Amino acid sequence: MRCICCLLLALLAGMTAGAAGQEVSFTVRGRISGEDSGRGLAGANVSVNVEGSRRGSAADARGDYALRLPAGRHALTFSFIGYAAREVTVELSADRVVNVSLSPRANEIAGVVVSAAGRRTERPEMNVERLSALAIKQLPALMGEVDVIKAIQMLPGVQSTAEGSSGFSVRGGSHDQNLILLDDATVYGASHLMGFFSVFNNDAIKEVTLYKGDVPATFGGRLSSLLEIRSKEGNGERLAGAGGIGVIASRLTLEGPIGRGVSFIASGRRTYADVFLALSPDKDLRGTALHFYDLNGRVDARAGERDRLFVSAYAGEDKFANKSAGMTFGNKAVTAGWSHAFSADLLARATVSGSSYNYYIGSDIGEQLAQDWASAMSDVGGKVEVAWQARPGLELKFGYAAAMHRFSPGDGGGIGDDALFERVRHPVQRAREQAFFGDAMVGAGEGLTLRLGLRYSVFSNVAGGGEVKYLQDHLYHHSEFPRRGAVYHSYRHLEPRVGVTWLVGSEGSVKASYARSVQYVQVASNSAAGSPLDVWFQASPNVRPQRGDQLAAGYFRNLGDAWELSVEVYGRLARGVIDFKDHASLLGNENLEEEVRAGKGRGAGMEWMARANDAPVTGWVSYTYSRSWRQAKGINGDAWYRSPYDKPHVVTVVANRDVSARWRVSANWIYATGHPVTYPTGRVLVENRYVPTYSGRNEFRFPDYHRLDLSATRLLLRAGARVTSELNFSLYNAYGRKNPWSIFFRQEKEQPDVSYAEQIYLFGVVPSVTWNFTF
Amino acid sequence: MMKFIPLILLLTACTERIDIRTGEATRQLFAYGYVTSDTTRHVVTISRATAYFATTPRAGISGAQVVIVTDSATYALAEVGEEAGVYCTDADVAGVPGEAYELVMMLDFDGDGAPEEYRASACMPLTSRIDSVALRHSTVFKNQVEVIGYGTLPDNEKNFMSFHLYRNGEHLTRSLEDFFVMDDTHFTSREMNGVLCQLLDQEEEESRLVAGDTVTLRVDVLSEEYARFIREAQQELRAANPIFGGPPANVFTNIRCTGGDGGARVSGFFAAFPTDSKSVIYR
Repeated sequence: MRCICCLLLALLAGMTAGAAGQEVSFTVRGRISGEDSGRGLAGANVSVNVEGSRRGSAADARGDYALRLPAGRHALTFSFIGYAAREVTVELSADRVVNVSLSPRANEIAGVVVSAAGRRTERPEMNVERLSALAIKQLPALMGEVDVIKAIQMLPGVQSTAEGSSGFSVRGGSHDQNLILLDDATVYGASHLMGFFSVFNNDAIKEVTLYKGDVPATFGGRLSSLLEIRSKEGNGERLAGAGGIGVIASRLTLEGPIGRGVSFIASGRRTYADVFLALSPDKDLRGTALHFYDLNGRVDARAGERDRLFVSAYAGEDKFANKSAGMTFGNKAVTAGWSHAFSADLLARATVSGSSYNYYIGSDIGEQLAQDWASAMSDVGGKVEVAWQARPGLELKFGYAAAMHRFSPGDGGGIGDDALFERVRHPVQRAREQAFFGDAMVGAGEGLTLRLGLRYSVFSNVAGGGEVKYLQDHLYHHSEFPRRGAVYHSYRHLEPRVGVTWLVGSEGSVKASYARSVQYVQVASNSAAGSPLDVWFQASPNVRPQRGDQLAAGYFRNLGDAWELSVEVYGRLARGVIDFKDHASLLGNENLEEEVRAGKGRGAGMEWMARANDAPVTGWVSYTYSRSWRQAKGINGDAWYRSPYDKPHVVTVVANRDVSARWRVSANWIYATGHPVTYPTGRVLVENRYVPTYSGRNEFRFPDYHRLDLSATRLLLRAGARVTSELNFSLYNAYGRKNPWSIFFRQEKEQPDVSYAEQIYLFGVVPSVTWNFTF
Repeated sequence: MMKFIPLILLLTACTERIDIRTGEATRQLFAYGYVTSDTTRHVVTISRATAYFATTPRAGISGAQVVIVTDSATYALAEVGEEAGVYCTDADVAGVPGEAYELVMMLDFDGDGAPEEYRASACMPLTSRIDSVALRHSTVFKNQVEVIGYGTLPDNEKNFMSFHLYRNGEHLTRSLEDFFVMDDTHFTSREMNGVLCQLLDQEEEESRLVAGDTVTLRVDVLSEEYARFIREAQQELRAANPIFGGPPANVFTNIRCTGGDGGARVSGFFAAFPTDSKSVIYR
């Protein structure tokens, strides 16, 4: 490891030194925004020809860009998907600020479904996919509810963890190996309604970026991916709104200016299944609560040319209850950020964020058995980051991040004086996670760009004043009582991230990357899909952090402006991968760590994608070949076994077409090898019932999965009307494929010696209609 | 909260049979039996695992030598009845709480011509005391009669109880999924002052009560290992659930091949537990 660090530092020093004595250069910086909303266009591109070679930059999440160029006259081209490109000529004899507004293209409806920041070919990054809110909106949706994570699941290398679930696996990793950030705040429970919908209201989202394994050094904490979700800034020009009424939910968004340089956006969504249940002829169903809601809000302010501030907040909750039992769970997240431009080349950003996830379950089945149980977890953290364009071709980012984790695994028990069960409170887990990070983007000439990153992470367990238990042979062996607030154990890791991009001609590039990641918190769940009742637990003296290495390489090629082709291959190794012993008891288990069986993981794959950006039909076709295995002592006789996410073949097709000025049609189709499963191969009789005996873990597979979704959108345009609206008709699972959600095994009632298998499938053909409007 | 899943899925979810082929079972010996505190014939069954989708009854194994050994006695089990692989003690045998029991079986399961030895041991927990039983119509569960127990739990370090019901002497909870195992990990005391032990569904003919019926509650106190075996076996009968369930797995066993070449796979359980029961007449 020390050798790698020395090599990185030497390389960086060499590149920086090489800058001495080069041309006089200046920085052009500014903001690229949309004329329609005044909002910054994240990922918008600026490019220029300098002495025959192309240089460029992509705007960040706020639409800000910076580009270092030699002195002289330059013709800058600003472009973004769905907007008309614009050329601006600048004479550079000093640093310049150039703010540009782009106009939406006339009759542009669908746009491009996946948009990279600039052309993927040229970006010095790989393993990255971006989706705009507009792109997500185009995809046919389950019950008409547009869903960020369902859209992500259509990308190569990403798969759903279960039919209908908003959990996802990236390159064979577990669903808890994905870091989900909403404006830098961690979202731990990203699903509503037992996982069928994600917590992200698409109307409040600006852009979604997925980093598959190769995460920039500014982020860390998960092995498989980073899903970075940026909320939308409010419209700075005028009061505007959007909303929709759908089959299961309605939503409304309002946005606008609230002063000079200040804008707001507020968005809400609620389901109303319980409204219909109140009309049920079954009186037991009438009092049932069954709903979820989301609230998003954000305020942005500009203080002069150099300072920006924002505060964004999210709150959401699910509630299910009848007269004898109930359950609620939900997230809250808030982030405040400030950025300051010290100069054209030097920008500092600071954010503080907090997030929480909690659930509560209760039952009232008699005075003695009435019980409740609650779990809560929260993060409070902050990050300071400096971005410095040291010279043309050398961009540096460095900073520090820290977070305090507080996980309360459980608190509850019997209710009332007559309760049979006592009340218990599991010890609260506290930890401090810190990281120093640095990222350098180095143009090495001849079309070669290096990305060098290093993250030094420290995870410290902090005593809560109670007992700290130590394991031996998976059983608690002895305890200590460190004083409250004391750090009783720490892990430190260096996490290098390296990437290289080599432009091959003007239309192609070869890229490679290596990334090491460390994960210090994980879900205590042995289900493949995850549930709202999952508790997270921390690395500790008994549970080492998960460590992963990913090596990837790819070739990217443009076929004009219409098509982009890419192929990426990767290999992954992981240690300390969390699994659990057979029949593990996880819910409400104070001695959870005894159930853990940490082991190794390995995976490899290839992702191929052809993307149509400007053809009559836009969208993409992708094929993923992916394998993923695990091995842990005490599981499957210590032999390697397929991970639950090992699906060798996945094909996705996404297509959008404007068939007229008023009609747009979209379709997506997915095929995936059935996921691994353990089936019974034998049976034995216990208490008059046949109990299965099993194959090795995950030796069999579910039937292959495939599904076609269709949608058609009718624009309801009226000349001169300020309110525009559309009707969206969608068919989820259009040909009614019965994809199993679960397969289980039964005995015939009349012939007890005959066993049979049954499948539960969640969805037949699911039609829906949604009315969307904007004003 | 599992009851919410069907509620959520009621709009679209469906169930249907599916053709799954899982091949032949791995060759595996299975033994299951227990000694209770009742004076009766105690039974041990020995069989081999059959293919999951076989349509034949249990494949019992005859010809084994089976004994149960305590510190003070050895009880030979004889194969009785028409069904192969069912071995019983004499009818006057009763287990004693606190006493250790060892099951020893000798048979040639691996077919090499020489018998292997299989052993399992169990210690019988102390017994609970059931003072009385009451019946009441549930105000929470629709059309259910609650069976309420009063009594005292024993002084075992941890208690695991299973509750069985009889109606006029007919065993209503004879199948694995008909009873459940409760532990006293977080009980506030050892007193059972009206614990809900079982439910009788009045919409089902097989559990419906009429005035004058005698309902008997039997409480077994299980060892932690046997409770684990029963719970895991019950878990494997339930439908797998990708949201809340983990991967299926073979059930815990306490039977070991201690002699022969040890090559044969063996599973099952041998237990010892005390029982106590009380009856009430439904009015």
